[in-house]
Amino acid sequence: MGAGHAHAMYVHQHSPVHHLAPEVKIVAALAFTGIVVATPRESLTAFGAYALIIAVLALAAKIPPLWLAKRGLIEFPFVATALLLPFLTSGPRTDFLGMSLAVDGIWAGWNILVKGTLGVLIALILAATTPARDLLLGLDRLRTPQAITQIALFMLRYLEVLADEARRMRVARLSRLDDPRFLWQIKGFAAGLGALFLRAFERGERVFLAMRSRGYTGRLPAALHAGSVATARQWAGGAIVPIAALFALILMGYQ
Amino acid sequence: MKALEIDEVKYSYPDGHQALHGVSLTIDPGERVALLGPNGAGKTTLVLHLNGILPSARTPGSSGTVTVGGQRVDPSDRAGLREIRRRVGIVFQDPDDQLFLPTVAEDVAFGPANLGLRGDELTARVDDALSWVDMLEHRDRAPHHLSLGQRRRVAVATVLAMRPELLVLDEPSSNLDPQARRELAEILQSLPVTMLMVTHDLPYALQLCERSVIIDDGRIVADAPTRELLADHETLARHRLELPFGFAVPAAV
Repeated sequence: MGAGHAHAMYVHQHSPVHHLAPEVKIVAALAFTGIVVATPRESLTAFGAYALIIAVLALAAKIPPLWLAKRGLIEFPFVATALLLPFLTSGPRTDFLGMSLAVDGIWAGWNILVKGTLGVLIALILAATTPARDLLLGLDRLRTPQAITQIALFMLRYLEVLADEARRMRVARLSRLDDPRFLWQIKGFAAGLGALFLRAFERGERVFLAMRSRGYTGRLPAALHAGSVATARQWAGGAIVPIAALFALILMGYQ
Repeated sequence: MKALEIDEVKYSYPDGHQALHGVSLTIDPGERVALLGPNGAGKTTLVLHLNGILPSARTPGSSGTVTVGGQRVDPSDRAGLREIRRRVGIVFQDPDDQLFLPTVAEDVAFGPANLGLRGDELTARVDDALSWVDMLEHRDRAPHHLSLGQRRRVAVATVLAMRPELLVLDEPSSNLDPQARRELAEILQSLPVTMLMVTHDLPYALQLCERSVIIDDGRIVADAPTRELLADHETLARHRLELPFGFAVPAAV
């Protein structure tokens, strides 16, 4: 039952980064990503500076480097094309380990790889230091359209309920000697999915009724989280990250 | 003034199935009434009428009026509904439907915060409600880590925190172990509110409610002191209600 405490991405720690209000962190991460994307691909020192900023953040937030590295693998399918570019681009070529690579392609691949990696890392730090629900709270405070935050909020809630229900149904199936080992034996599971969908649907309706009965009108009451609204100091603290990146961009990026 | 007046309420679901065929019921302030009836009798449909969730505005096939503490429930009047939903607190059967925030305290605060309370006042409401159901020590725990009996008590607190005038409980005793059942009964007995308890747990009705009404097939078919009603085996049997095996309520006290 312990899984419900936090979400899979959250690294439970107490650090200045964790305690920052979610809206500050979202804005800072977005600004940082924007600056990274705007950097000319040849400015290696600027990228070095960004990597340093991320390393400092990760250290301050007490996120284990191995965790970051493992979670960072998610970018792999997206950067796979980047690795192909040196082989597929035309133009002047160079030899490396006996392979003929296009110089322009190497730069293009590098561009995708480094910006993608930095973007994923800052997103991971955001996710690791902010519980999923606080992220939504931050988005809500940043005036994200209510429809989006509401759908996401309900999704978070239902994923837990659904996982629980799916687990109970699986146990019930297994106790009646369902033993799906091969693809052609998953009939029980497939039938269960249909039932699960119906149950989730009906339960969703009941949950919504219960919320409306307590005066819900489409927005979580702000008073529930009044304590965590960003102060001017928090905004200033959060601004350090994009401002440092901006300095790196100006000093090293456009020489 | 009556706490609750239901007058000739009729309702058909959009698929045409008529769930309520003209229900009338009056409850005085401070009364505790059990609403008994078999599955599918229309109990839950009636409950959803009490705070204006049903009928949705301009539903064909619905008529009749519900009045709570002198104010008529009008589904098309948003401001009025807010007040009605404060006055009528519904505790749904499955606490998992009701509890959806990460901690008990936040969940209890949800209703009053929707009413516009904040800060210390909100915290005080939450702590009061939790202490009424004897759950104050669990205020910062996650609801899904509690036992069913505890979750049901928290669900009651989420509604009490709104200071309702009419507390409506849908099957409060279902799936509870005997001790949790008794603890909940003691809590409910100690609450100074008007109460409508939907159940088919007849001993629980006898323990908590001096008056019972039976609803069957969308109609009120009996309305009497609980003890009399439970002694009338014919009426009970006619409406698919029965006492647990081996138990009987003597007609005279």
